[in-house]
Amino acid sequence: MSNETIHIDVHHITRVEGHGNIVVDIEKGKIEKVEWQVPEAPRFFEAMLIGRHYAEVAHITSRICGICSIGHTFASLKATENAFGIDISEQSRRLRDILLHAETLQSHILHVCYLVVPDLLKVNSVIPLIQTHREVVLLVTKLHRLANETCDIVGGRTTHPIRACVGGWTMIPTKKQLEELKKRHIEALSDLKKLAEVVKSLAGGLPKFERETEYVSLIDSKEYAFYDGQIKSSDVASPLPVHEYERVTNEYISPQSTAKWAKFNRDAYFVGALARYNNNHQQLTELSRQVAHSLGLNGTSSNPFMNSVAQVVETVFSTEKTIEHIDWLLNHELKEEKELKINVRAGRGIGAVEVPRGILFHDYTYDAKGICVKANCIIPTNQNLANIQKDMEKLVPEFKSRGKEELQFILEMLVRAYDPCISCSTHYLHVEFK
Amino acid sequence: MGDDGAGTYVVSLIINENLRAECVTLITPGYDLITYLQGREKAIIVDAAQFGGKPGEVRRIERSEIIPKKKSSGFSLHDSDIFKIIDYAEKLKIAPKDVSVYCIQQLRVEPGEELSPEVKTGAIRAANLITQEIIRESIIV
Repeated sequence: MSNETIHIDVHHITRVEGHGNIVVDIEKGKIEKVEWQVPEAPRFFEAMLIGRHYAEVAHITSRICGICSIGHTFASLKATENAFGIDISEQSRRLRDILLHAETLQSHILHVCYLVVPDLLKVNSVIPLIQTHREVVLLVTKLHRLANETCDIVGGRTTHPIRACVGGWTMIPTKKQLEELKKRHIEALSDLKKLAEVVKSLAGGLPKFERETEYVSLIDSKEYAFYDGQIKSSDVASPLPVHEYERVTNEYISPQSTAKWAKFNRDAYFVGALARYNNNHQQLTELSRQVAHSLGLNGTSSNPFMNSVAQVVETVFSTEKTIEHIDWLLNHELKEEKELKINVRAGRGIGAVEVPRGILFHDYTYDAKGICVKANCIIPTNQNLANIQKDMEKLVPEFKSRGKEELQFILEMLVRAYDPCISCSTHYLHVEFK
Repeated sequence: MGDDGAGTYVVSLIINENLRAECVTLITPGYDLITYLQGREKAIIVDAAQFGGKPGEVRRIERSEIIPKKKSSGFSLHDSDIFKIIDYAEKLKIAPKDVSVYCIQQLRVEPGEELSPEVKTGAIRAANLITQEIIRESIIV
């Protein structure tokens, strides 16, 4: 085995969003090359925003992603509100949080159950599970539907929400709708506990692999952060304000990727559920903490494969928080917020939220008429690309003795564990011709 | 993307007709389609398509007639073949009893908000045909 020659060249890894390639060359036991390549074309969303009125910006950026459209909408709105000095009401803030949690629930359960679990059951996709695990698949479909319908009722549409606007909300859900949603979310907690048991029964199949890295997420003194907070690095004692995000992301171009890489205190960092969990686990809600313990997350973890387990924990957290927000809304008089006076001014604003795959930044500069003149969006997946590379560089020596087939399988599992949204990660490259 | 918006246009025509049907615009629903199919007696899907017809031509197609040519790198939550999703729903035993598909032959799929005139005429024809079908039953479109 130590003198084995292995060539792995996986083009278009399956069960991830977008296109990425894994290349490994081992010649007679010597590792010649380990590369995680991203060949996706840039999508130029930031260029599309130039010249657009502030009221259009969030609608455009919500189209960056079909799964994280809500997160993009809110990072965008927060950036615009930051530029114009606008504070939103507690009501709007809680409505936005409900939508963010619905997006998290939907994204995480689909990722874990449809993209990761097939690996643990040694099947190619979720399709065979219809025969072998039909009840589990139906449970996932039920939770998926709840998340989608929450987005419909609160945000006006499943994808690309239309009711959140700069400073407010165009149409508030009725109390009857909120009561029905609360009932369904309480029921969902039992369903999620059942799913957690299924994941627990399979979690032993996750590779035992550890690599110390830096974990970056939002942090908030009041709660496990999703909507608000400052930037927390596991390597730094004090968090940074969001407007200093560029000190954290430090994007640069890698020759093996059309998406930029990022680094902060090390040569790579991790964003996403595991980063949020590692930085904020002491702020989990009661039931989500119990689920974390039952799934083997007791304190921090440096196994990237545990990102999927952290996602399961977050589905429970998101459901508990949604119930809490609905309770607040039901106990307060709901007010229409569509007639807002927006004092447009020239300036720069930055918004950050946690989306399912990690911390997301939107940065806009407006002129005095509210026209966007500059934009920058830093996507969670592009922040993770360097960390995937570093994980592979450590994993290959440790697992190469298992032979080509198993090594390739574990590398693909590694990429899937990050739940990457690869085509969203290739944002605008600044190119200079000399 | 030009004529790619034909299905959306059809739904916009039907949605104001106060019919006993839920009309939704899904764009590229991916796996979300399954949550809209679940629990329905009948569903109608309408979309721009390439089937070698004249621009704007409308065909109501039975599923058995369709040979999907869409290539994908595998199961994707963002962008799944709708017929695979319907198959998946059937295997789960949650699919509508009847799913019909209206296709409108596209002419141009390129950046732009307008339909080409022929496709717009075809979309109006498709909306009329679907309206007649909806009047008989409660369905999603």
